[in-house]
Amino acid sequence: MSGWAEGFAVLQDWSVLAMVPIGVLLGVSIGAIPGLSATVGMAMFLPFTFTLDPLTGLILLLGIYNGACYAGAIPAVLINTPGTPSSAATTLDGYPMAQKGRAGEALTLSLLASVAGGLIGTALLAFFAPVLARYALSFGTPEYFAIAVLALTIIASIGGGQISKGFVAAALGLLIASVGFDPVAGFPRLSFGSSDLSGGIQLIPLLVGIFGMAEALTQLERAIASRLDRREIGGFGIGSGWARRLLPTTAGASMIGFGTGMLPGVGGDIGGYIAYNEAKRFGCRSAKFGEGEPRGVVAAEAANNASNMGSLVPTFALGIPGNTQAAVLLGALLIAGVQPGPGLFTSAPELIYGSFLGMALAYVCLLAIGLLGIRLWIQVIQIPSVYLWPIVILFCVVGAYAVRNTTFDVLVMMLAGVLGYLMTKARYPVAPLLIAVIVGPIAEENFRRSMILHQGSYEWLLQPLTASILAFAAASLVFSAWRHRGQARAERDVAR
Amino acid sequence: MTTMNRGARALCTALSALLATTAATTVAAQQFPSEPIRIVIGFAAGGSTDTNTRALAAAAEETCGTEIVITNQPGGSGVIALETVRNSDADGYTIATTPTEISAVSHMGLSDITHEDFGAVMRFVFDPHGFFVTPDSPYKSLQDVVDAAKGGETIRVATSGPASPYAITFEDMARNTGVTGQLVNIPYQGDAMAIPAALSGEVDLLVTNASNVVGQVAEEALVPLGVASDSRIAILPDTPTLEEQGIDVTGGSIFGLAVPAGTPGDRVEALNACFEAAFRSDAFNAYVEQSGVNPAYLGAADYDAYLAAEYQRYGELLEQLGLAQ
Repeated sequence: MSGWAEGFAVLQDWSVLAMVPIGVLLGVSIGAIPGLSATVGMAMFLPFTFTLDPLTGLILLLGIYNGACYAGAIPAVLINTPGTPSSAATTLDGYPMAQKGRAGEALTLSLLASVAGGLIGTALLAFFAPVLARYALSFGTPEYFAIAVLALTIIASIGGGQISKGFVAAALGLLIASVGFDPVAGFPRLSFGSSDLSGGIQLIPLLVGIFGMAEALTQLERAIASRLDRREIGGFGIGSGWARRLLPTTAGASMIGFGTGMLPGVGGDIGGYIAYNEAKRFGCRSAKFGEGEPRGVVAAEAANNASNMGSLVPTFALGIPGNTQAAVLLGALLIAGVQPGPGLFTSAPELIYGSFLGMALAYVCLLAIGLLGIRLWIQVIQIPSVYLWPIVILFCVVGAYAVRNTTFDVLVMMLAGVLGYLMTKARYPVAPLLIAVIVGPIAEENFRRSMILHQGSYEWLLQPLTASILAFAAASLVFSAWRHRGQARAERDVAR
Repeated sequence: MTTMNRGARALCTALSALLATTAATTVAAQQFPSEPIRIVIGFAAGGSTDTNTRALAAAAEETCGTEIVITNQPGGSGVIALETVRNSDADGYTIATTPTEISAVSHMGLSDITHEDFGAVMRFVFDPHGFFVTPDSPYKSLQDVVDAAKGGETIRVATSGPASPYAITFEDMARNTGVTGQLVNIPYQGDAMAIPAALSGEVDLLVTNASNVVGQVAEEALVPLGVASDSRIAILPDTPTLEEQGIDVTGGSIFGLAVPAGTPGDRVEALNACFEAAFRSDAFNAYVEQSGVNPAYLGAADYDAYLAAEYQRYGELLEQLGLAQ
């Protein structure tokens, strides 16, 4: 426990403490704007941390990291556009809640779930990182493939109406994902001689287009047709009964999110979708996922924040970045003269336990900033539709351009916007497309690498861990098909 | 007449005032750099190119006396960023970081970009590639690896991609020792995936920049077998070079700066001067010491020549490896 005492001691310096709210505020601003990512925000402030003492710099970066992860939910709820890829699953129920006049409630829920997920994640990280890191190493290439397959099976249950439409959307997603460099053989695919295409379709412009731009087009069309205006905000309270009822979802989603986050290369976006799917699977029959179900918002947000903490397990314990933001943190640690790895917990206890305490503080600070801030952010939807959505389009353009400063990304965003608009019109769900874009490359690359590692033999599919995850994925598929049939029958009975 | 004179004098005064203003503007324009400089990085934020360049740029804001704006344009092994800079005005205000791949992409038919599209400003870091194993590996030296391969064993080598600079270095090593075919490239998406694979024993050998695994080496989770540099490096003083082990191969990740071809010589000189000052600053030296990167300065002319030689070398190498188009 002496490590905690040392961490606590160094945190009592006001100049260190002051970095907590500064970092969180910066993070919230960066995360709430689609296109600006926590990675770039942290990289921007990295040279600045060279001039600070190690812990102060680390606390600033961690504040940005935590703040941005939460803030992605704000535009996801209000304008159906995730501010960061992690909040993609939040749109599934967050935006329907806002449309039904429960935006205030949805924002409160996403804030509370983020803070809870983040704190659970911080605790797991602080107490179990070295043990868990060793466990994460047992996830090799074949296991990554199995996890990707498991994530892909979500398509069957998340598609809403028709499973077949979900599969069509997913197939389109796989096609989009295959543009760019072949990850194993190293030649460009579907590039048609264009170096922009051979660089691949970037996730953020696609995300901003298919959610933000598409929704703006849909809403503008509706606004022009019916002069539909202002939506209700609703209250901010969530009721005492809900808090208790949402507790199991929060805890479960946090564990799932943390576990997926521990795997390098698997981020909060996947964690959010898996947790959402599990919440749906275990949710009671009355729960209406996809139509504004509070559990959906809570699951997605608790999971992505916990996932963010999970990504720090390999970072702190093995010196391997769990995601791109963690790579920046690792840079900060190295420059501070600290070698991340198992020895970190004993060689620099004040730094490591100081940052765990700092992260917990950052979440407390986020709670305060969030509770004050949501009353401000929610004003966005008070803007009449005919003004609001053109502004959203402008932000989509700026956001897509901000990713790499290329007009190609703006073009991708616009085409994705039109695609998303058409899909919505034809009642094709966009979530399966997005899941396929994120997970497809992981599945492909790890399948092919497993084949190379095992010299063309399929025996790796039978390794215990791989086989169990694949069996679970198959069961999940069968279960959702069965449940889907049950629901369809129930609806028919009601109709009769 | 007097009125006329006065009028002429007034005109003269006005003209000379105008001339003086123009002259002043010209002087200001010659004061290079007077506007913010933009550096375009071809890789994502948080990677080694990004971190090294940002550290240098932070010091250069002082030495160049202007703001430096950094843009990340990842994609296509750095090609997208290089194209952006190639198409920018050749006025010295847009700088590219030169990835190692600049010497390879055109040979492989991935882009028509070569070093000839740019004028070098300087090279600041050369991070040699190293060969690493786990402590329980049967291989204690590269000779052991070569012997095992010659004995018919298949050795799985983790790299960060099929045609990445790492892969080219190890293919060069395999060719040099006559064990091509026994050393199999296992491409991972970057070091963050390759390093765990090496730690868990999924592969037999890891090729990566030495600075990427300083921590793992310090904690004896990974053991270095050799570095592909001309001489031993500061962070791995006890690790022999490949050359010391009888393998004539060098290779590493190169970090440099370049401007579009056709940029005026005085501006290249000015940039070189202020970025060299940044390279020699205390702030950048502190960064070098703490991050473990290998500083390796080359001036504009030397770096130009170096890039031309590398282009030649990669061309021959890729041809022999069957990777050239």
